[in-house]
Amino acid sequence: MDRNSTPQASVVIATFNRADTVVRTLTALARQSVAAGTFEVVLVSDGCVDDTVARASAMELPYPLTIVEQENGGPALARNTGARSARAELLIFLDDDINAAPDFVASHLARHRNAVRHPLVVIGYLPTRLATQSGLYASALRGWWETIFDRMAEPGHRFTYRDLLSGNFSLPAALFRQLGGFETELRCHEDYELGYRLIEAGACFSFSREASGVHEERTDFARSLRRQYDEGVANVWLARRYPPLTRTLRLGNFHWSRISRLAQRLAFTSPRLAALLAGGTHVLLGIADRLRLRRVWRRLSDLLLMHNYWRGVVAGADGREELLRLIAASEQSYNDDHAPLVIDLQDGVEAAEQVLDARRPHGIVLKWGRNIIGTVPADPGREQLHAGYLRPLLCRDFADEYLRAAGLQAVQDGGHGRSALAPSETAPSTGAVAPSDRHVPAR
Amino acid sequence: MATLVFDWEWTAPFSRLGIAAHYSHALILVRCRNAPIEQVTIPIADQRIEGTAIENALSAGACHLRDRILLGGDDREAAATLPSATVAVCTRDRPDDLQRCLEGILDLDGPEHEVLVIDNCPSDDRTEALVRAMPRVRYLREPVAGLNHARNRALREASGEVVVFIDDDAVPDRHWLTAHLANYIQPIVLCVTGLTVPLELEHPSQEEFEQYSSFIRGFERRVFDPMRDDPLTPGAIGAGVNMSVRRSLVETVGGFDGALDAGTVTKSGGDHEMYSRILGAGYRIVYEPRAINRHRHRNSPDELEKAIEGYGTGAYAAMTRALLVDGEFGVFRIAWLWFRHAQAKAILRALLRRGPEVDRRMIRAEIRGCLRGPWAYLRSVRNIRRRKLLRYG
Repeated sequence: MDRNSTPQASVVIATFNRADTVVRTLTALARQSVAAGTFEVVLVSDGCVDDTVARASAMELPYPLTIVEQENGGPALARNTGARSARAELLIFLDDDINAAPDFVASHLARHRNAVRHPLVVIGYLPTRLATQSGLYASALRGWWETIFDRMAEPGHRFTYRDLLSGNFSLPAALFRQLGGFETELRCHEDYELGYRLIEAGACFSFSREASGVHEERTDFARSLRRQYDEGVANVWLARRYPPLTRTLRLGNFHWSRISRLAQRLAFTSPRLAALLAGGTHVLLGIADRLRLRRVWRRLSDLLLMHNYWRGVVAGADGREELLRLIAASEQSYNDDHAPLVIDLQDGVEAAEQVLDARRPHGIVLKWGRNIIGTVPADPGREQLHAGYLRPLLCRDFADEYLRAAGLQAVQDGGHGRSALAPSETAPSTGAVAPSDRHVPAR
Repeated sequence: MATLVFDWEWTAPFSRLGIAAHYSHALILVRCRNAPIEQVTIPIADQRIEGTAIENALSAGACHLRDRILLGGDDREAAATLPSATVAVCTRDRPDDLQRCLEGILDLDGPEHEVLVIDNCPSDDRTEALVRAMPRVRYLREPVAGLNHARNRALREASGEVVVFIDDDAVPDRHWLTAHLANYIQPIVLCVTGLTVPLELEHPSQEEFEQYSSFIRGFERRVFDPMRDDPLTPGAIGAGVNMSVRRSLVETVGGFDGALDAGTVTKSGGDHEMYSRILGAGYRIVYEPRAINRHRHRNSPDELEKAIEGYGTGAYAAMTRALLVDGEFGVFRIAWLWFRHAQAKAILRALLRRGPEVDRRMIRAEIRGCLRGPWAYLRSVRNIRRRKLLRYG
């Protein structure tokens, strides 16, 4: 094995005082299906005061391991440091508490090698293994992570900046450097922030179930509450920096429930009363957990999480006036150069796909002659559209409209005969889907 | 008059002539590229059925599902590799049914799999003789009576990562096994249930069974998640007649409760109690209608009443277990909602003597069963303890 040849991928791991976990993570990387020289690992010790560095450097590993030490500066800074030391053209960011599957590196590499659209960002799957949690919190946590990946796995999912999870993703090193890496001002949501800049730069996101690693989840409810607070602070930062994103954040969502509006108002005007109510809610939550009353527990925990989120917003914003100003600013919405592109499907699905890939619009209006089949609005923070969306969109969201519009047209043109969907005439997965005139579902 | 039961693939041309004269209706499972989209009943005239008649009977929802399938919009994430599987049949004194079931199992397409027959406390050796004569089927005898004991035995003895259960009086569709296994993509999925349709409706009592106690849970795939679906109302998920579980569930949520289900005084509920526990622990269950099997409903008239009573007993026994063992206080709410939204109305109708006589019989049976449930569970637990004392005492 030649340790000096340039590897194809650099796995960057930032860690802080978790020697045992890091050793497990490095061990899992020693069992990769790819040849040993294919990848290197860069471990950044973010000011660890335990024996992380000593234990990691004592390990016998089949891959080259570079250990970089820095003063404690948070995960964003540590990842940037790691990326600077990386030699490969592909960066894979991995959290220190993830046991990579044997095909982890191979799957990241393969996805980039076979990419049709560039630049590509690959987000890997993280099945969760709970460590110590119990009660209703544990069962909620399990599903919470899975739901995020379910969404990404759906065919034709339009990725948003929030889909970038820093625990397991890969991108070309050149792109990472060009964007200047993670924003080090943020201690939370630095992944969302990078995700937004990647999407603005025209990157395509992709989810890989195979590039997976088991995530040892150690968070508890108290930490979830603190996390909500940090998210509140970070959301204000994001709203200030990127006004179009405001309405995609919870603080800028105009559909606040009555209780959320109350929580927001209380957090700004009488934080002590809010804290008192939260204390009471916490007691009730404990009782609901004991009796395993899920609905009650969920409502109460939502309240507490919301309360902490608004506390974070209060801490981050310059008074309630600023919050309202930020929201108002975002209402002068997305600007005009994001006007939707009109696509006529009469020219065939393939032609439409070519147009989509050539133009990469933010929004589209799908038509069949004069009939509108459906619209996909421009949406801040969401990927620009490409050919990969069209078929899933037609099949899943606009199947009825598409078949009806296409069918009507066929009738107007005097088209007759058995449904185009009937066997052996059209294979929908190849070629354009032909119109139907008889099997349009009655409404 | 009887009902003819058969499948119709929508993408193939169809007409059927010369149907036997004693069939007045047909119950047709309409499929599109093998996926079931709806079950329709149509009258038979002149001993024939035309494809157009079936097509016209389809609902708007079914047409929508069909179009989605044809366009490819119902395609799902494909598993890179299917998990290894063991097909397990728990049986007791029904060699004729079992033979039909095993013939179906040996005809399955899809991956290599192990086949187990668990003979639960049999009264003779007919089952053993039958199974020993069949190729690649493993025979096991479980001496402790109770379907859940047999299921646990299957989990202990199976070598597959997933154990797929089918009742001895059911027959699998050719794609049944593959359809089950394809849903185990995420580790969070511990259980998959399938669609069970009637094998035949030759007798009035079979039609009655299908009417009052159908196994059909719809034709759309559904993922059950404790954040959306209450773990304590598992009825919509499916039933033990057609389900598979990850074998590792024994370690994560525990095995089946031996005090519940057929063969014990609780009569049923062992499958539903397991669903509650899986969801309660935060895992998921998938209902996959493409995993089809066919159940031969009993054809003796009082069988249905017994079954309905048994479901009541099992449901209340399972709720008793959820309260006493798992500390689920939500069962009181569930019992109340069940009473308020379903049973109260039926009782009122029965008291006012509205509706057919059979309705009254069924609600009486159900209430009788429910009232017996809690005591049945306690008695069943006591029986297990006694048996252990006898054995080890």
